Amino acid sequence: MSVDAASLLSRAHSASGFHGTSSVLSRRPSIYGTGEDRIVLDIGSLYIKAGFSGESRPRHIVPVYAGNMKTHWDPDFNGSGGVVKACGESCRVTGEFAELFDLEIGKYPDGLDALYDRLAHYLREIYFRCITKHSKYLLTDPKQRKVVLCESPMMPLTLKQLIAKVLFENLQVPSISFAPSHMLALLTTGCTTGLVIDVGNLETTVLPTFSARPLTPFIRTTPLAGRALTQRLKDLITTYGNMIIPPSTNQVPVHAKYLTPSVLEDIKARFIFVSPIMVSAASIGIAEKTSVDDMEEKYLSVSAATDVHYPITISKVGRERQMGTLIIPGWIRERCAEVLFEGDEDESSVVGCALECLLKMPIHLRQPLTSAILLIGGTTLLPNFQSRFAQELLRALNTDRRFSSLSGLASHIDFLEEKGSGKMFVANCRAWVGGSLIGSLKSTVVEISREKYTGQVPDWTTSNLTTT
Amino acid sequence: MSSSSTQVLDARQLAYVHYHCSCPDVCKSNESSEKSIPDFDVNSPRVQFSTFPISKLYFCDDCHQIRCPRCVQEEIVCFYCPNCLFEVPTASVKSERNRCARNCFQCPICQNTLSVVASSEPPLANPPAALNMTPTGAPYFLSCGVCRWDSQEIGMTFEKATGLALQLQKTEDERPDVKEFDHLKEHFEKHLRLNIPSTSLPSSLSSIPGMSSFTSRYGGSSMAHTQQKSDDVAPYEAVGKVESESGLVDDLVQLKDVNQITTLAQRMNQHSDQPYKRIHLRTKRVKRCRSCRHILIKPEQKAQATRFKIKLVALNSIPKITITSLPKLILNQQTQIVLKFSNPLYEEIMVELKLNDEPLEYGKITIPSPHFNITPYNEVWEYDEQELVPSKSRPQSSASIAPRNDIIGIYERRGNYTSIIVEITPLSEVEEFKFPLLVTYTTKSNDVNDGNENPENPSDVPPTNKSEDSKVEADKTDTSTSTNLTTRSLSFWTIIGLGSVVKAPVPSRSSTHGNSGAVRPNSISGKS
Repeated sequence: MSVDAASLLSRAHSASGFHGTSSVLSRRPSIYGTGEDRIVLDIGSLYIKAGFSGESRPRHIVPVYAGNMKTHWDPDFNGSGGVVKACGESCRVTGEFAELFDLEIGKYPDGLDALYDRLAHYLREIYFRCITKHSKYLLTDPKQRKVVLCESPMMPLTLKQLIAKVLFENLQVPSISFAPSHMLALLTTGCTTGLVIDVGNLETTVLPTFSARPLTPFIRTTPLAGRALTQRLKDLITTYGNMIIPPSTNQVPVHAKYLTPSVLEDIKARFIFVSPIMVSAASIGIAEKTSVDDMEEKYLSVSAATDVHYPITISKVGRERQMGTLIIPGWIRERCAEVLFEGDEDESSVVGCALECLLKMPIHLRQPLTSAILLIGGTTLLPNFQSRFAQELLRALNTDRRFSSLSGLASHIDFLEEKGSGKMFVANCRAWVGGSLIGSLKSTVVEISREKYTGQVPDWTTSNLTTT
Repeated sequence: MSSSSTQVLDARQLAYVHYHCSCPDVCKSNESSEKSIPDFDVNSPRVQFSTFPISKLYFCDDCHQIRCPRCVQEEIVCFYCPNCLFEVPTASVKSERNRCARNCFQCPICQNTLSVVASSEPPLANPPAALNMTPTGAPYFLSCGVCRWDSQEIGMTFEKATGLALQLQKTEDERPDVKEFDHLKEHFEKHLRLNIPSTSLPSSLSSIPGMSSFTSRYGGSSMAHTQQKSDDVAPYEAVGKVESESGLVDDLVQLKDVNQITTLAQRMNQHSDQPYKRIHLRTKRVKRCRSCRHILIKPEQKAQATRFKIKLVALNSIPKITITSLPKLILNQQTQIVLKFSNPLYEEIMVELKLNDEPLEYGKITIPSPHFNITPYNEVWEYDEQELVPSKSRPQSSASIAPRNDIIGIYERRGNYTSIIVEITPLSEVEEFKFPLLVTYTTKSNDVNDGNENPENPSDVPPTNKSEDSKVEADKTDTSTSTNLTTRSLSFWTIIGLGSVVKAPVPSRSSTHGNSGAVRPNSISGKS
């Protein structure tokens, strides 16, 4: 990551030595036949997408849970935050919806061994059986199919090694190909040049890609993404939301214990949208961050959304459940996502992050990339995200002094989803679809086979070192 | 009062006995080079993934070792639809996308199985051929018996009551994203064909191969490298376009009823725009031991058959532990729980129990009788519950193994099981009181030819004086000094979960039980 832009650019120009050119690859390029299908996995921190190459959508999107494998009952399965998981075909298990990993792998509280266990568990489930009654997985023998793994550029190397370890040692897959998710997503638009902005759960990653080459040195990230949104939603609901707990009909403040991750995820997916109206004066750069206590005052009068009465599980005993009602104020639904557009010096907003990336790039690349912005990742599925993003981009270009050198780009802003096939593929699955595409092509992809596996995996950070 | 009964119910539900499988062949990370068995950390997060109820475990006879779902290898024997129980040939599984190709559909609202229903006018009166002419009045539709959804709502009707999936196949193949995907694939394949000579140059990592060149297709960019051959992909023309939904935000702004929006579970279940879903296939799988490749589970090939050709489950091989008596655990009060050990084998086994060397932080546990034996399994007892322990094995074992322990701490001996008492004094109010228990059992057989337990020979031979204290590592089969007498022993950890600890409701009751562990009520031991 510390390679400076100038030297990289020169290397890019030299037509062979770009960081992506790993010596491993040039020694043994492997041509895939198109006949065999591969398994395509996109392992995120909240969802694992899995399916076969050559298909236009993943077979399954598997949410991950903290995972207690034993409990045999779970009545709490329905839309309102129910979570069901099973250790086999017959018994089902509860567990809280929980992130599989963190970007700071050292921070993982239970150590890598526990992560290994969880990963192994999920991948085995995906290959063989059903986690819930309602979603069943690939039903295939892992030993017979190669794997294409969509990898985020910022995925910790340790985690990649761990995934490889699980796949090779536990499931004994014949080979794994690692493919950068931003570029895969770009391929689904038919283009090979674009500014790909992945607003995922843990972080937002902006990675320019030119002629199918991810320009990794220009990558910019910010922690403002799905998890920050969830946290904001939780803060807002606990501060301003109300609950009705039967038999009483009075509204009482919300206790945080009812807002389980799965409830929040459900609310986030169903009721949150990005307001079409901008409020805060300068929301990127050195903009003020509104504290939660001031938000009602700030947003209530400029929001139009209705309050929502959301049924929520209060308690459950066996199969008996007591339901209550959570009242979510409309302005929270509308203004919760403002968090993504409020940045400061430490955490750029999503827009600021994209502009910083453009600022770092060589001048002649800025314009083509600005006209080919692609938003991917689950958080961009928030209704109206893209148009608000465009608005904020324009405003930042016009008002923020940091980006004054970019102001000429304002007229060139364009999104890839506006052109071509539009939203033919859903933004959160684009990386997977690209993996499926790559997997079905006769294409050279870095592949490590089980025989050659030594515990190391190819990575752009390490391949940089080997080529220099 | 309702809250206290709730807690009791919860405690009952949370009580369990789970068996630990160390998966020695899978998890090579922590080699067990040390002689003594290390303490077992019940609070490690890994425990969730390494302990199982006994019903989930297998037993490899050749390795003489427990196998769990993690350390078996699975091979698919057959695919079948769980609803119609038709087998699906392996060749067509992939093309059918792992789903039933017949009539089995899932409700898009509640995910229950849909059934084919005829519309009100009698459909059988008309020959199907005639109906093909008038597709508007197709007589069959799908209906959900649970939530009353029916496919007429979305205008989905069928001419015939059979082969519904086939009738829908056409619309499935014409999905715009499938078309678009194929078009993309063609697009890039064409590019690859044209650029094959350039693969001699190193291609960029995991990308479409080709030379590195910065010639942009956005013609205007002023690149100085125009002499290089362009490897950029030709402009792509999409075959279709999906516009973003413009009304979505307005709908959300004015949202009144939460049920108008699909839930996350519904979306997860069905991330396609198809309003119906064919039922997913299931598999039958052979399970093999990872170390010796022997088959542990082999089901019948036929989907309807529920028998197993080979079924080496732990339930038939290792002592089964059940919690038979679980009073409420009260803070600082000694409570006696009863653990029942059943012997599934046709030979007598000796059981030795051991707790962690480190005492638990949140409670004190005493096992008055850590050594005991269990008489062999005999089918007769299945029918004759009242029969007490046959006299021939009882005195023999009590004389040889642990004559005194037999009196104290044994709750009951019957048939092929022995129940023992465990004294527990919770010292802090924990949500879940659980403790690890190392179970070592030893069988003796004087026929070791095939390594199998031989049913015809329960232990006639007097047991040798085994020194279990040496703590042999699990899975050590040692042929003893006597000519053909073999003792086999296996150690495994279990976790006993007992539910939550509650505060004493009235502190007057427990005057005698205050001293935890020191007091052993003799009245109970008399029952054995």
